[in-house]
Amino acid sequence: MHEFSIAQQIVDVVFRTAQENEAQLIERVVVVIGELTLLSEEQVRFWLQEFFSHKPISREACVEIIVQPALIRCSHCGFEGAPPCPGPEAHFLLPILACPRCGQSGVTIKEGRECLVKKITVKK
Amino acid sequence: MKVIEFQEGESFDIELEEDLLKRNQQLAQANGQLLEKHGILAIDVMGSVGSGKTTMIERLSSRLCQTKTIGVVAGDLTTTIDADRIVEKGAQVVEVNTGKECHLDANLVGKALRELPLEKLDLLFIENVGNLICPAEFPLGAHKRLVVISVTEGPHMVVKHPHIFRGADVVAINKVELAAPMKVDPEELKKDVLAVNPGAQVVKTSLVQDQGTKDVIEALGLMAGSGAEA
Ligand SMILES: Nc1nc2c(ncn2[C@@H]2O[C@H](COP(=O)(O)OP(=O)(O)OP(=O)(O)O)[C@@H](O)[C@H]2O)c(=O)[nH]1
Ligand SMILES: [Mg+2]
Ligand SMILES: [Zn+2]
Repeated sequence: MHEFSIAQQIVDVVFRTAQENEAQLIERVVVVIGELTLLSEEQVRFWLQEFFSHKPISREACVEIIVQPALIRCSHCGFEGAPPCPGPEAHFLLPILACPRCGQSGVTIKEGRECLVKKITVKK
Repeated sequence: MKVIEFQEGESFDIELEEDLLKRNQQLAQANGQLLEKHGILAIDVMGSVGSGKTTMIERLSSRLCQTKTIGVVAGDLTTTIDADRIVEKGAQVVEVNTGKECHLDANLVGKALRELPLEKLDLLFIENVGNLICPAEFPLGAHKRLVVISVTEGPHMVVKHPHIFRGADVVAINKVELAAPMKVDPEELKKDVLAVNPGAQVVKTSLVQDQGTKDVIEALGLMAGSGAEA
């Protein structure tokens, strides 16, 4: 739901970085969205393309979104890996409660919660 | 330092690692530290539209204002209706109109904190925007998270929106006097909450009748005599 404002923030970062580097043209924007955020890749892409299409400097920009898979770590047994696959009827983002190896709760999320501008390609 | 010269018209990559959600987390931490410095216990009040968040803050304020100086940050899309209601209960209120935003974020709350007399306050309520999805992703720096839901939202609202409950310390199931006509069993809702978050304290309330308010105060650790530290 907050994809709109997140996209605005991404656009701010991109334009600021382009300006700091005296770029004339923004060709590519690479954004990373964690699998465990509540952000929809589709909606973020839509708004980014919408915002970029209004400025000559970014009109041609190609938006690339990388979905970062989730990585969790268990503090009890040291398990590190993907969270368990939820059942068919469960929401696929259902909170991760227990370690898939030892069953204890207390897993921490190491990856999958990020939302960042990773790279932009520009032309001077 | 390595300086790379670029030819006119040449493309180049700029690597940057600016995490937008992490930025909110950092600001939330700063809010938390500011509040702690002033000995203020802050409670983020979340829940769906119309579930009873403002009524909850009114009820809690009425009971606690004898012993504590209370501040409220009222997040509202466009109006001051909620803020006006709370002012009547004797709390210091700062209104934050979020405009188009579906949630409060740590930056907005940080700005609101600058408008409150922090040195005087013991307790701060932050009324989040009515929404069960987005606020879950934006910590504000509060010490406790109170989620207010109501039986009028139907029997499946917890299983459909697990995230907001995962981070909750206390969940109030409100409007329980309407459970029978709504054909909703509050016990089932409670089970759903505990399945997502076994550590949560679940309280049934009927805030129009001021029922359950004391249990919420207890669950939040705000009993008279217990200081702002809790
Ligand atoms: N029947 C019943 N109505 C209640 C109860 N608690 C609150 N209400 C009513 O529900 C309506 C919404 O209450 P609010 O406290 O304004 O809800 P809110 O969550 O702050 O609403 P927004 O800020 O607009 O999202 C009001 O008309 C309240 O009087 C309750 O326990 N039972
Ligand atoms: Mg309200
Ligand atoms: Zn384990």
